[in-house]
Amino acid sequence: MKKPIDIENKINQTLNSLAGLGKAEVKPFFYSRLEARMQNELVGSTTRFAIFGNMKLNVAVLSIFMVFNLVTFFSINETTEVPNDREGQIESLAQDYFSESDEYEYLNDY
Amino acid sequence: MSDENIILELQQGSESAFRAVVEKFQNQVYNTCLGLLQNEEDAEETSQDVFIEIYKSVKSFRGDAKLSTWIYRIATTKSLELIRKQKRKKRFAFLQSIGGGDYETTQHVSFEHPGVILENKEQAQTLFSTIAELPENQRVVFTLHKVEGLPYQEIADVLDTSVSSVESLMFRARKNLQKKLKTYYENNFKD
Repeated sequence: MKKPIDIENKINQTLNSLAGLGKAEVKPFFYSRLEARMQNELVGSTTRFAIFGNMKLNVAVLSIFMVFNLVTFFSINETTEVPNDREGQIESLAQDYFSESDEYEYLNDY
Repeated sequence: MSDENIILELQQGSESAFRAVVEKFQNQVYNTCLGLLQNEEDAEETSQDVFIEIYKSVKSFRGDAKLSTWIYRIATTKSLELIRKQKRKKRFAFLQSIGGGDYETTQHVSFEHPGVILENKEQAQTLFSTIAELPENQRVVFTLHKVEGLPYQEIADVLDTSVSSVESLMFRARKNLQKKLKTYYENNFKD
């Protein structure tokens, strides 16, 4: 084992090894690389999301959705025929829940 | 151009002011990042991150600190973010290895700072390896003082703390380094 004083000297030399340290410098054309990266990142993200900033497109898409909803709404209303008079409404309800036809007769087999 | 004028023009989006800032501070930022990260590619990329951050957040810079202090603060923060990210990746890879995944045990690669005097090269490599094992705050203070050459007052401004805290951290860093180096030399230089 090395003498303690040798190790102490070694430790001190190591701790002082940064004396006179010169400053590291960036590689040449650092600004050009930075500029290229910024154009790619900052401008790129702007164009990617620009589509959502297009007002005409937003209005067109919204209109399509509204028309689709209205068509769906009216087509549902057309298929459901509800009688206007009270007796007719009761008859319609009875037919829905208490059908006279034997289409459910097969259930009696179970 | 004075710092105040540069900041004003930067806040107005002046490209020439931004270029002036980059050219004035690029080496300081790079040297700081390199000292903390101990890797040239990481230091280059992080230095770019620093200037991109300056560009994005200069409008919110209130001027209550010097421009250089603010820039060093961003450089330190960005470097620490990368160090923490790399540590998380290592931890995750290790946990995956427990579950049967591959885990590459990459030891800390010896770092050669380009500014080290030739006769000190080997010892400086050992010192940088040991610095990398220090707790974060001690590592930052030691690096800003010994590698970047900042005085204690400026380090205190960068870290938004007191000079006495910086002195205390430096003292603890030195003690820690002595202890780790002693173990290293006792283990590696047995007769």
